[in-house]
Amino acid sequence: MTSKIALNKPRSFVLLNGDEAVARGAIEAGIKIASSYPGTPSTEILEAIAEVAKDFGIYAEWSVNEIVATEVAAGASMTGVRSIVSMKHVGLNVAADAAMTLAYTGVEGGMVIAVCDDPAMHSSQNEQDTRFFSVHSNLPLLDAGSPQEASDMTRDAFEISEKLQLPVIVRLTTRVAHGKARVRLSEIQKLARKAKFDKAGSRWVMVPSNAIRQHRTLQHKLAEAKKLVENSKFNVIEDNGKKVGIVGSGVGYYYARSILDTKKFSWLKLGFVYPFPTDLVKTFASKVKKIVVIEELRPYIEENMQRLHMEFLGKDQLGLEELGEFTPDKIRAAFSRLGLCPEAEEQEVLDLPPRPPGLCPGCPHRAFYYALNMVNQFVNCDPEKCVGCVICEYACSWEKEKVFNPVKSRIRAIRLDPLSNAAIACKICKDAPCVAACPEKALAQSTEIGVVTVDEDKCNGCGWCIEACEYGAITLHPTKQKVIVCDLCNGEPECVQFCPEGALSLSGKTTDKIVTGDIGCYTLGVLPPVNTVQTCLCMGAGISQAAGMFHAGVKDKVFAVIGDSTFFHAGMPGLLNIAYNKANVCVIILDNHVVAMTGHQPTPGSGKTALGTNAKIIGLRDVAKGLGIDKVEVVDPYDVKETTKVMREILDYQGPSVIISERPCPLKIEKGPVREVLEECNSCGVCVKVFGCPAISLTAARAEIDPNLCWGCGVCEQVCPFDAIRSTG
Amino acid sequence: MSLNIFICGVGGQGLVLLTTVIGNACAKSGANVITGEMYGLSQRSGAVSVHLRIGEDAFSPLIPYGEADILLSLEAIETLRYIEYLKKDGIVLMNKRIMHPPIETSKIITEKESKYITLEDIVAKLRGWTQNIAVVDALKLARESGNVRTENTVFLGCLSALEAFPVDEKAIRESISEAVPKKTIEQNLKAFDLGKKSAHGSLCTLVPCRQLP
Repeated sequence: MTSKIALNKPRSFVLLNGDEAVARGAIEAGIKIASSYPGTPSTEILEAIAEVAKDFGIYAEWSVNEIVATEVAAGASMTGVRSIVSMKHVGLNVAADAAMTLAYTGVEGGMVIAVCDDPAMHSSQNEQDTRFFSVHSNLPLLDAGSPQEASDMTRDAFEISEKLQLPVIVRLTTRVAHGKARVRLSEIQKLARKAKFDKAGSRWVMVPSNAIRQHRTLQHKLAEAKKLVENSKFNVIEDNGKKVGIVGSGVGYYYARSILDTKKFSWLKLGFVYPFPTDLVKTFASKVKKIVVIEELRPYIEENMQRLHMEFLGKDQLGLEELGEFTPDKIRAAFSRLGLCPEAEEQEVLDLPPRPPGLCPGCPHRAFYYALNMVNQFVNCDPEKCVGCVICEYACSWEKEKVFNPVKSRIRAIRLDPLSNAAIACKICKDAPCVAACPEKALAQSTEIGVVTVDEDKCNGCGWCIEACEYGAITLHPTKQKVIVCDLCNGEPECVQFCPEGALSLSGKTTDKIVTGDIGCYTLGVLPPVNTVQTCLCMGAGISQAAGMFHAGVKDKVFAVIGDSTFFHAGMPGLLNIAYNKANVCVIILDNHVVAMTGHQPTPGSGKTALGTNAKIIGLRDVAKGLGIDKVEVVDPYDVKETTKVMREILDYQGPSVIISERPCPLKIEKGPVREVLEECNSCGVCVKVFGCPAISLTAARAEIDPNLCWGCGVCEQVCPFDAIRSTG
Repeated sequence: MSLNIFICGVGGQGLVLLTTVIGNACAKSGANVITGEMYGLSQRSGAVSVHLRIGEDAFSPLIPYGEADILLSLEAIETLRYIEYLKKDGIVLMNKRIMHPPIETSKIITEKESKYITLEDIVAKLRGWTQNIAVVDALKLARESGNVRTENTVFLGCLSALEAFPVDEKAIRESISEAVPKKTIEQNLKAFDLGKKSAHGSLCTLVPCRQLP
């Protein structure tokens, strides 16, 4: 089937979402170049264009980030052809350096910057309002409230752009970008333009003397733009001769129309919103007695009206907030406050288990986080479950001394208060105080797994180490008079195996490491039970935040996790910086060969382009080495033991290092053999409570793996302390 | 009047695909349709919801509370999460399948007295809202079709049986064939038929349906 957006049937209708509609508008305008970096909810714009690019002689690319994409589109426009660059709202921050000065240089061929805002932050780290970027940059802006508008505005934006010789922003919000509606198609223009660059054009060279002139030129262009907005077909008055007039933009305007009796009000829909159509709004005001303003996010229309000393009822009077997204119900409540519509019924709140987004079953990120959490493991006891039966003490003394004698145990059950108990074993402290306290140098700490070893020839039973341990985890052997301490039984502690209450587990320590995060699926590592990621600011920030913490002098080792695509996007300068400025930071690149969260777009490491052609595979190891990192290791996150071992070593490594955790996103590959739970399972819950695989739940008798959800990664098999999970394959 | 359908489920169950198929089928049958979809951060395991409105007067993408004619839920717990969108005495078309969120399971481990929510609990709560509840064992029917991932298409079959659903069966079949991966077309069409047939045993005893040919 030919793609809907390529259909050359003007005046027919097709069902498109807002992003596809932008793509269609751009194709109708005869674009030659499209560039973008994936970001929800804008991703499908470039995807839709790329799918049909060949048919229309369009070049489309996933650029490595938004400023690069913007510069690619700008370069194309400078040669006289039409170009579009698309991104999510925060992408425009990345592109801002280019966009701000593009307003000075202007463009030659029409250039559109399509930006999708995300009110309510369904998939974003902030909810900025791009209309204010226009105020900041002086770039004209069209605000789409439906897929039809998205298509029409994009097409017309190219005309506006060429008339003004300025890039034009087309703004969508999530509800417009990710909602489908019928779109009436227009003619697809065929522009036979040859790319030609005016080498003598001083307007492209923003040295101060030229830039001063161009800033003045921009003021003239804005005066022209002002005339366009006053007469734009996207700014429409519907005068029903009523007292109350409603002014709105974006999807909020349509919510208002859907819940009110439209004939009882007069309406002004604003679509071409920057520069502000002052005269039109004044004209509308003269026709009504009272104006109500409906706009999502920041009060842009309101502030403009305030500047004109106009009276209106806005967010304050309506009880609408500057944050979050509008819904028909919020608008209904707002109008009912003014007595303009009946009140809505109160909704009952049900107590349901929350279902936040999470890492998928089989996700290599979860496996890696588990391994990282397990670095510096120790025997942990859940006091809620411990009944003080001291079976752990018997298990330990039998394993170590071949006697059932709790006095010879390395773990000790204690009564916390009359109602609760706990068992205490060595906590594997970093720079263990017991080791430092030993006057005979009999105690040493393994650099690999952190356990404390006792040299019995040197130990004289003085007990300084026992004093030094704040947990009371070291004791004196009653007959040998040498100290004894937990050695984790080579990673499979007997006490954990025998605890009848499932109170003991081998847990990792988060207290001696800081883990900064970044933007991508792996940010979900902040959620329980993974709880690994401790920061998320913006694309690429994690590496440099980690560097800042190190230079500030934190005592913990700092790790920075970042996805492969985010690393290519904004992580490389940060990595170069830690190599140059010698920060003791370990950068972990979670390499799944794809931009996973936005729906599997290719990356520079994937060997594919947006158009589906083959590309050079850019190797992460080479990039890291090239940026000056000497210590680069690659691990397979599905191999928990090996990954943990490498991470333990890195904990003591001094200097910048890179670990590449490599596994393709499971959604990209065939499912492996699913796992099943055996009778040995005692419902300890480690696979759910510590590992957190959503395919596992806990029925009364034992854990249960949903074969439809299990992706067959096999990591739970390694996680289970009782060997109670096996492959069905 | 427009027909409002609220669709919910868990990321990975194919809600967006289901919406695309219904939307395209509506477009083919000449019906106006508008959708509001929420996805992005819920590839797998998060809550996903879609507002779908069919009819000439549908022009804003979100259904207000209490105005959905049908609440179609691909996972039973999610039905309750969005119940406020359903009209009093509207139709609940719900999967029998429950996917327990990991948070619920963690709670079971830490709190001895807490229990998993059951289908009976869910239906009992729904009865406070509507009596028109059809529970479909979509996973079983999907398995019968030869592909366990066709639960979404089973529900499309159920929907198509409704008299109120203004879309040609031919258009739906075409849309399915265009939207799903090529090698699963046969399985999806079978799942569609199984869903339609099952509706006549349950859903159609509650609300008016089309005659089986």
